[in-house]
Amino acid sequence: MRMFLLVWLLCQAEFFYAQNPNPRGDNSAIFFYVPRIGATQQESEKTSKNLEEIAKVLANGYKINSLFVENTTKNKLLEMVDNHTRNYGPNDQVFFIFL
Amino acid sequence: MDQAYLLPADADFKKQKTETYLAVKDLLPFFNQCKAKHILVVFDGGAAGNFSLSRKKSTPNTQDATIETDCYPLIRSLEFTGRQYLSVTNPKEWDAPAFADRFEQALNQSASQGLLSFEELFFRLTKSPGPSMEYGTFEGHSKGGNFFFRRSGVCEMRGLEGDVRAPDSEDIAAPEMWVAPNEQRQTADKNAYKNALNLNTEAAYKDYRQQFPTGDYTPYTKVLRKLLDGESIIKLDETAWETALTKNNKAAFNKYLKDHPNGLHRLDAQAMLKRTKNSLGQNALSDNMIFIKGGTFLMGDDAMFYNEAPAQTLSVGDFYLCKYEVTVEEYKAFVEATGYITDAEKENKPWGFDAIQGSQALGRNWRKDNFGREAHKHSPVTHVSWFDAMEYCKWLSKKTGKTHRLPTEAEWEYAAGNGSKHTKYSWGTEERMTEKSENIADETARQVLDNSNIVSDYFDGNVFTAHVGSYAPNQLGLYDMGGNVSEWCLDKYAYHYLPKAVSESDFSPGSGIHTTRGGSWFARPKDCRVTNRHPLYNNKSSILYGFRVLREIE
Repeated sequence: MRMFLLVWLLCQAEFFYAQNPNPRGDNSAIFFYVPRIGATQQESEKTSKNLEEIAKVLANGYKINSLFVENTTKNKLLEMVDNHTRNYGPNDQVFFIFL
Repeated sequence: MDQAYLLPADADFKKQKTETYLAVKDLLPFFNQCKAKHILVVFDGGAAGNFSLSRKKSTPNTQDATIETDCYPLIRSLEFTGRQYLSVTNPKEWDAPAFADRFEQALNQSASQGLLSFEELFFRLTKSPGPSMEYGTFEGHSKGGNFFFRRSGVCEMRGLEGDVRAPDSEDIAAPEMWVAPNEQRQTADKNAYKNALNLNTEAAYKDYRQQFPTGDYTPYTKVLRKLLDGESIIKLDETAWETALTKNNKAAFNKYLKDHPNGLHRLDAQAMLKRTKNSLGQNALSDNMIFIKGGTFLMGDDAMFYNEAPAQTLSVGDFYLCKYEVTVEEYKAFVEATGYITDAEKENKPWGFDAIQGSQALGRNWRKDNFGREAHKHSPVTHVSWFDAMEYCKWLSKKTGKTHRLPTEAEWEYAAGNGSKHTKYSWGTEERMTEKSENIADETARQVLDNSNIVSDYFDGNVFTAHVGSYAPNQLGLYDMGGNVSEWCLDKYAYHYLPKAVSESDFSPGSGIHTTRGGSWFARPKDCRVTNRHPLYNNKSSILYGFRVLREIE
């Protein structure tokens, strides 16, 4: 009976751990930015600057690291999304922004 | 409307959308393969509904989402996967800078708490007038899953390390108590690591590891310890080389070669021995100039990326090119002589790699290395913009009385590809690299980088930048053309390379995008191809970019 109780407790513990992951995972953000066709240089630079400001808020306020990918091609974009999406674990959160 | 597209840099309006545009739905397989607990995707103008499971539109000034203010929803959300998106529904209304502004403001409102749910973010974005938006979920989403912008430590549960338990009534009643359970340990760990870093001795790193055998920074101390060993060897090497240069005679260079058969300057020493006595003792940079005999070559590559095409036959004249990238020491001499302040120092915003955080970070400049220490004098200078590089060339020209400048893309590619041979890589025709071919993203980098670019089974021995000239030169005697740092070129970037004279307008501040060429310590071999072109705003800089100098034939 004691052994049965022990096994039951272990099962419960395993179930509990699986259901309640520790919120410690890696949080990261990836910005893909391609200036809009027809946008002036000033507009593009302003947007680029704004994105950097967002990254600062993410870094300072939420400790989320950001990666910038600017002006990239279709193939490279897909390749990078592919590479990055492979790299995250079950406790991680990832934020993509395509602008 | 349901079929939304993103426009990459190589979008061609003359072709069918499916050819060069990126359909949003084509991103789904990648998100499906991602194991992350929660994914949030934000798109610019265009509905993302073509891959959504559920969609919900919102109108400005309408609160239609629950604002989460405590930890319990976060804890609950961790039981489920979240796959959420947010998109502007009317591209005509789209105003990228305005949206970015609003996004920043929305994030900022909860930055001090370090916790913001997706719903609350969406509510804040739609609270003020602006383009209409929609949000929803896509494949892989479980009801209950929710993306949270969350600072590490916030809402972690109390208890011993590794203790994971469900929140109880006391926790819910006092969510402010849910602080990092190991906050004290983490702080002590970080402080101990900082101390070790400041001392930068083998003993200090050993002490740290004894104190925190499984500490957050233990892997870094192992790398730093190896670097320290390397530094001692390099220091002896450098001292011996400086002695040889000071003595500046055959015996001194022979002694250097005898004492350091594999030294960093062995090739320099051999070259010095071949030179006439008169040529010794000149300006160090001039001595490092290689004469490049001009010629005709097939520039570009039709088979690769759009901006490498069309391949075209071009001729370049004779020129001298520095066999090394410009070093920290050389750039320092310029800064000290002129009081010049780089763009990065003015704006304090370049991206660099922070080895302590293990991530990219703001506020880096040419004076510091990746560990925040003083950059080594023989490392290539980084965090320099195109303007910073141009100013250096101007100063050097004035100082030497000879015209120095950045190479044009054509000159760079000609030199990197071993002249008219135009090899695919600076090191040869094959992607496969021999030992010590170039400093790229190798297995060494894996020790500190979580970088999917890393080339398996290639060891170049350097995580970040290497001292210039540490790897084999190409057939023209030029070092680091394929790796170490990507290098600024003179001419303005165009989608398809156009050989044209550089005009005055190209030199005015904010004149646009220029090109960097060659791979870096962060690159894979295929990014090190001599035809690879990387556009970059001319006022930007990072740890990946440097430059080398060309001297014109008088």
